Amino acid sequence: MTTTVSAPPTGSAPQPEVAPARRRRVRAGTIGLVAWLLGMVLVPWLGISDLWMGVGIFAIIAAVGALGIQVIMGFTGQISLGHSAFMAIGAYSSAWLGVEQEQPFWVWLPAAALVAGLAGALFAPIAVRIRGLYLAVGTIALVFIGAYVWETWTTVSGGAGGRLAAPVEINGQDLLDGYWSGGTQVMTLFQAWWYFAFAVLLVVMVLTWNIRRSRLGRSMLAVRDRDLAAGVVGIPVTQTKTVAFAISSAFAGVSGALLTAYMGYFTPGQWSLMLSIDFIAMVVIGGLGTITGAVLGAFFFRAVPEVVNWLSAYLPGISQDAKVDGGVTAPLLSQFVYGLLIVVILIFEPRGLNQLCRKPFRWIQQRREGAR
Amino acid sequence: MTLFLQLGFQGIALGMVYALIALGFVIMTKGSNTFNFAHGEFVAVGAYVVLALMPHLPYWLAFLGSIVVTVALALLVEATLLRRLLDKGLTTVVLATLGVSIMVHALILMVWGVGTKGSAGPVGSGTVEVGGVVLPLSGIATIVASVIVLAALLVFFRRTPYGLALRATASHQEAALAQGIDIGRMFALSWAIAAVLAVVASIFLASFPRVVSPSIALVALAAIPAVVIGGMDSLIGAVVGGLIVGLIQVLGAGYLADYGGGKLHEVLPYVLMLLVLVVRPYGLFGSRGIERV
Repeated sequence: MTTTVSAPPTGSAPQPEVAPARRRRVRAGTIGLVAWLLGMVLVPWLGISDLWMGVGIFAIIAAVGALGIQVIMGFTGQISLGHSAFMAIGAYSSAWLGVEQEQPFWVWLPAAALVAGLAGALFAPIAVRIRGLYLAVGTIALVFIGAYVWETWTTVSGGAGGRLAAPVEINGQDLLDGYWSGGTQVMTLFQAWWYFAFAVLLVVMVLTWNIRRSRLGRSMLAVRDRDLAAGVVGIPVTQTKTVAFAISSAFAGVSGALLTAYMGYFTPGQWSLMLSIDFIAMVVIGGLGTITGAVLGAFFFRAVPEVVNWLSAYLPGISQDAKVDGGVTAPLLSQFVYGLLIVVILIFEPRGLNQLCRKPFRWIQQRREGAR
Repeated sequence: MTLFLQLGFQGIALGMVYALIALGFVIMTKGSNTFNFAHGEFVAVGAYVVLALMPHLPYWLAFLGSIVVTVALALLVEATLLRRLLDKGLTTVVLATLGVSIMVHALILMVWGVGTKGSAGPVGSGTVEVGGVVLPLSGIATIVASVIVLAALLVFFRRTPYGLALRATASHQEAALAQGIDIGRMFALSWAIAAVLAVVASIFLASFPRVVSPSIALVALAAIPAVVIGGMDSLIGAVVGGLIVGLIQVLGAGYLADYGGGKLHEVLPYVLMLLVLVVRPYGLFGSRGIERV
């Protein structure tokens, strides 16, 4: 398009740059991935406060669960509001194995995935019969039935008072005490847990990445886009949905087991509908159908409440602790902002943060292409 | 037998409340193709506003004031949010209404706090005895008022032009549009009706022996099994589903108190909902819109 313009020779040759455009974009993605990996490895040594390290660890653990939701919602297109129940199943089975049976974490962590995955596969026969709105509403039942079971089955859950979670022991050391070597502390509890959770997240990310690229992943995408058409071209729709449910529940189970192990102690009350909503928000606001989106969303929604908490100390008229008779408190404000962010982002960028983050780059790219 | 009649009466009274909330869900779903997860919070707003206005105004004015506030809130949400997201897919709509629900819940706690308040019902704690069966006045008021509201709704849908237009919109949007029906106004109307039903339900959900508390929205969510059991697009289904859920909860609380930790009645509606989804995925009265693949 610039052939008619006799541009002054600046030394740059525009022609050869057009061809490797695609390769350059791939490279940008790789650079981003490597930068993120490096950043995640370096973060524990940057002197970040314990509070924010804790938030980061919660975000990493949440990202594992969010990837599970990504498999069922982003890839397969089935809305599930019941995944907090599968997280709870992972948490209780890991706690039982880790505390009562005194098994090490490399037994209870895969076991949590297995048990939660089995539970997901057991629920699948109901889930595959219903679609769309009915499925979203129907899966709410899981949360309430789960809540009842945890409160009633006190031998496993410890009742309303809660119970101990499985400890993560490496070389005979509980990770919640940090990591010691020869009498000196090599890593604090936050540094040690950051790496442990990050390692699990990497495994789950690679698994999700491979699922997405496999025949199974492509079947899921076909079921998401139009299950009737997918069935016509020979994709086993029911089987694909069942497997997707099992995988996503397994990831949720791992996330639940990690979450409780990090907290050390947990109660039946925390497996609420709100937890399920949390994960759906992460995935949809992060970006449906992408691994980046799930991780991005997890970090975003774990950071937002803390940021609001932190900011509210500087705002007038906000008290820091809960009040019985009303008033704007920091937790309530962060809850409100949480809902507001969901709504605002959905209105302005329904494709999520993932696309929002790419906008500046795309804009620059367009400017460069336009300038040529 | 007396116990059964007494529990049955209370079950029907509670069931009518669920029926009103479930009707709201169904009318919104049919009218504007959205499922409003924030509806439970609308119920809560209705109860809290009535309670706030009660000391200053006669009861019926407090009730009307609450209707104005709740309908305004519903219309605001519908116009600013749902209308924009209609073409963005189910996931977006579901999450958006969940976001609204979180916001409204936080606002309620900011304004009224986390504590439990008094009762917001139109009648007090009196009882009448009919043939040895003790009936609370609040239960009688609930049933009478619900039946009146249901009858009014029936007349509205069957006998008024707006009701006809709403039904036309629900059955085929494009055809309704071709007949000159303002679809946008019908969406707003369906949300407004749902909000009115929410306020009516709220005063009975918060009447003796129950009180207004932040968990009232969660109680209102028990109407969701009613919606699914009845069928998501059936008005009659919503009423029948509501009655089933109410009866199960009260009879379960009465007869199953010794089993399963005494809270079995709280999950029975959800268990029944799953069973119905297995046997009849479209509910007892719903149309077979959802096919199996």
